[in-house]
Amino acid sequence: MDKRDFVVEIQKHTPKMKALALAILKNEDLVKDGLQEVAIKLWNQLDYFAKVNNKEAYCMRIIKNWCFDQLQLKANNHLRLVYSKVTENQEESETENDVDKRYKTIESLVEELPDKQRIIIELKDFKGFDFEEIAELLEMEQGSVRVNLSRARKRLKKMYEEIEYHQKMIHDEKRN
Amino acid sequence: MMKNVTSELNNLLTKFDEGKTSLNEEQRLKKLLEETNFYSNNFYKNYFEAIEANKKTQEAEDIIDFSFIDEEFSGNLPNNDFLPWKAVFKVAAVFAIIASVFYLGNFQQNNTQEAKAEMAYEQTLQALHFVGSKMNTAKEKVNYLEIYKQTTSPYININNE
Repeated sequence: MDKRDFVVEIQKHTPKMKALALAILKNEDLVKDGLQEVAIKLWNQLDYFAKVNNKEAYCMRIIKNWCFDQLQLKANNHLRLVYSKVTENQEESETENDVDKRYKTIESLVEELPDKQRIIIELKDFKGFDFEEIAELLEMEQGSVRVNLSRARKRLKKMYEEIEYHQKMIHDEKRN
Repeated sequence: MMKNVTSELNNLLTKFDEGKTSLNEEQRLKKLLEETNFYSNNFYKNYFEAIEANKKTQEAEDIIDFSFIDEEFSGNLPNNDFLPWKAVFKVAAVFAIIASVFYLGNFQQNNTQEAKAEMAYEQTLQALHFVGSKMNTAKEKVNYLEIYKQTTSPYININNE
């Protein structure tokens, strides 16, 4: 495998790796760093990588491990704060339309889910992974993935309806 | 008709909540949600809108910078601008070392030859002194013979006469 083959191979798997990393980390800059690090790591073990049969699965495993390492780092709490602030600022923007606002509301609610549920709902609904892929990536049974997805969707719905209820109450109070 | 749609919608929403919908069923659900306008379905409508909006942000882009591959190569190779100079310096250094070794070797060899010659000269001198001293002793003895010859010659001469 020469330099050109390597670049083509990595570029082929980048969109899926990015989707997975974003689902886990929810931070674009961190994901870019992760993808860069993974590419360098794979280049450094080129001889081994060239012999790997299922290169996509291998790439996905490497980026997944990197993302979970990042999640475990305490620094991630800081990142989450930064992310929340960005979301708040975006919500205040006057140029946004209603669809964007609703999207950001849903997105910020997804952020509130427990990590496992959040990652599964991100992968399944937002990134288009199927149950089999998610089960393999997260080393879980497909049934367990389904149960977590169900809990995540129900929880999300409940949170959304609570917010809507409070917003309606505030709106009604203002009118009266 | 409306009742059937509501029934199908509720059925699909229940399946969706349970995480049991297929991709086709989710597409159907999305379509039904767009066609109907129940307040209670606001969450699902917005949820599918959010999913669509998220897909638009997933445009493919060149995220990974592969320049590190070239850097790695150029890092290991010497800079071409300096390559001839380095070679010249290396060759000059090798010549300098070889010349030094030859010079030192010759110098040492010359010194040894000089010492050998001096020693040979000394030895020759000593040998000549020795020969000279023996010559002197022998000459003294020959002198004795001369006196003997002078003493005996008159008698010998008589006989000859």
